[in-house]
Amino acid sequence: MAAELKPSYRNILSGGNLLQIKAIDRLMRSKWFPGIIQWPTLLLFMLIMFQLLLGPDSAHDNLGTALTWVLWWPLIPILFLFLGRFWCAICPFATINDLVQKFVGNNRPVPRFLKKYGIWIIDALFIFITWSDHVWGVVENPFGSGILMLMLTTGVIASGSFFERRTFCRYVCFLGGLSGNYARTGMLALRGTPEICATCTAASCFKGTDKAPGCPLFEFPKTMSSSANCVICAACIKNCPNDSIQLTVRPPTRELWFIRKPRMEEAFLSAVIMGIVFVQNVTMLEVWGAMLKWLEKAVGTTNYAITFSITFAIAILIPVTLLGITSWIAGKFNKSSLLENFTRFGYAIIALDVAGHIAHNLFHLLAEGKSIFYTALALLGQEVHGASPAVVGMETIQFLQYGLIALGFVASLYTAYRIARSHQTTGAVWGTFAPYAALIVVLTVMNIYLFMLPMAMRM
Amino acid sequence: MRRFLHLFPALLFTLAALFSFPVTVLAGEGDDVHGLEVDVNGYHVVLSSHDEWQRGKNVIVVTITDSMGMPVEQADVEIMFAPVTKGHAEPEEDSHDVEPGHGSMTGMEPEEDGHDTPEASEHEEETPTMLAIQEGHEPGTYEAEVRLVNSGEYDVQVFFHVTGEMLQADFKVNVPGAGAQTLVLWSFLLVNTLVITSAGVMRKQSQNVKGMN
Repeated sequence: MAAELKPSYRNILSGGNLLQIKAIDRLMRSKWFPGIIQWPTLLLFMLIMFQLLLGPDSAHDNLGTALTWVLWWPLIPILFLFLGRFWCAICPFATINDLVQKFVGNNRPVPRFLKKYGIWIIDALFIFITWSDHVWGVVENPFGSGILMLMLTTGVIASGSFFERRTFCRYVCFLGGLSGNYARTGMLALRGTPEICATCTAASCFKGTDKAPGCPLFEFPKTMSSSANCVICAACIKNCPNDSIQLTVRPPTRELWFIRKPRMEEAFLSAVIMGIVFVQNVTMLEVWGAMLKWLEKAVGTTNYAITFSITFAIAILIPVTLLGITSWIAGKFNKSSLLENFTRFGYAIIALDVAGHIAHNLFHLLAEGKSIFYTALALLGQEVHGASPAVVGMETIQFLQYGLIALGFVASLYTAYRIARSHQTTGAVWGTFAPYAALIVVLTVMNIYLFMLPMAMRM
Repeated sequence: MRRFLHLFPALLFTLAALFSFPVTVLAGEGDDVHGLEVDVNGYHVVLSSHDEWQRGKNVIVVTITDSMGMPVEQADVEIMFAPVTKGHAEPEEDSHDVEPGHGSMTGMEPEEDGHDTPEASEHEEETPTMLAIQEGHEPGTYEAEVRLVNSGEYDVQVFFHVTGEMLQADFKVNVPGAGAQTLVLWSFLLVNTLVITSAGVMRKQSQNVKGMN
């Protein structure tokens, strides 16, 4: 019965299945996918690791630093926007996990505490790693960056050795948490066709077949309503005996308009990311030195770990507190509790998070992009001296940054409106929406102000 | 036994995480508040690094106080770093009233504007540089950023002009380098090998148990 049903055929731009295109369908079903991208990525990762751990000590001479922090880190949020969480399918850490699992894996079930507190652990790790980058200088120190990568490698090796599938990626990886949130804004969505899945009892997509393993991130396309944990590895496409899986293009942020089960920890992470974008911007501003001196005088110590921790805590608390206050005000209109509103509307600022993150890193990508070629040439014995690493001028970068923030602003605003509309009666919609609109305006203005000030480089 | 086997992965997982963290932290941990100290003609000179001495960027702080313990402000302070090599003459302790020579310097580059320039790296190994350091925000402190290319022992000379004379304070600084980094890398290798080996043994044991059943 199930096999007789097929996904409906519609125009791709109006939500039709991308697998209607034969080339995409063949690629997804190929046994070489995603390996054909995964293995070269692992090789590149090994080169990066070699450079970071054994290459030049100075960040601006190190190809590993350039590829990691000038190319990969800025490209990652852009990838999430266009391809959802596809990066995680080809991530070298995931490949290492799979390799270790294949040879020595014990495939034990995910520990219960990880299932219960996984996202909080990710939140804490994300905060800790950002903090440690500033205090111990991970980005500016190639060896430090290498150590961070080694820690992640140790994590995936331990996870792949003992636990099933990609436990680390789903429940521990800090980037996985970030990608989960960002992938919700993504334009690519993979879902089962409800009418077909309803009649299916095989669950091959989850369990796996001889064609491909089951979903590495423990998702079940039959009931999946979010792209947060779909890495588009195409295992389910290969496994489904009924051709139920659809890959569709959707408007950016669309998923955020209809979150079925909003979670406090995810909403909290979205506010935290906003704070982290603030702190990343603030510490790269030329006025940061003056601010630090003022803070040192105020707290009576020159210990950077202390002064930065205070700045960091303030930067994170600003959006969290503002979201809390806004949720309390909105509660006056929609009669929901502060926590309910915080959890529901926290998702609205994800679009602005993504925009701020891309805009911040666009500076590094475009103002320092050529350093990738210079450091690669240096590896081949060709030194380049005195040349600018900028790909485009500062005016162009700022123009793009403002444009991105404007897009993020509109997307967040619209998301807040849609969330308000989906949960409230007509009368309460505008009363609920207005405080969040004001919050998004405030956060946008803060972002724009930070991008107006001159920034220091990474390399 | 079965219970132990059940707990073992979690234990090893935790151990792996804990083990990798302290090593990393030690490798990069900062705030060596106790600097190196020297007395020169009644002046007390303290040389310290904002963080632990390391290859690459170091924010150095020189603190000068007079015999009364009062901070010496607005002095002209310069600093030179020279790596100690075999056959290198040991500098005299507490030498005074010398004219600083701008001799050959290796292994040290001043940091400009908080980040390196391609030009800076060009001269990374050979440039003879005497670095003038600016007054810090605390009275009697002088701060500068230097990039130490190599690890190992450095002779550091601090020259300061006070009341018309130039004084020199000599220090020895040890910059931990490849040794510490190698230790960190071996630690990771050890932990990961241990994890993989344990997992392999456990898998074999569980396969044997299944085979017996």
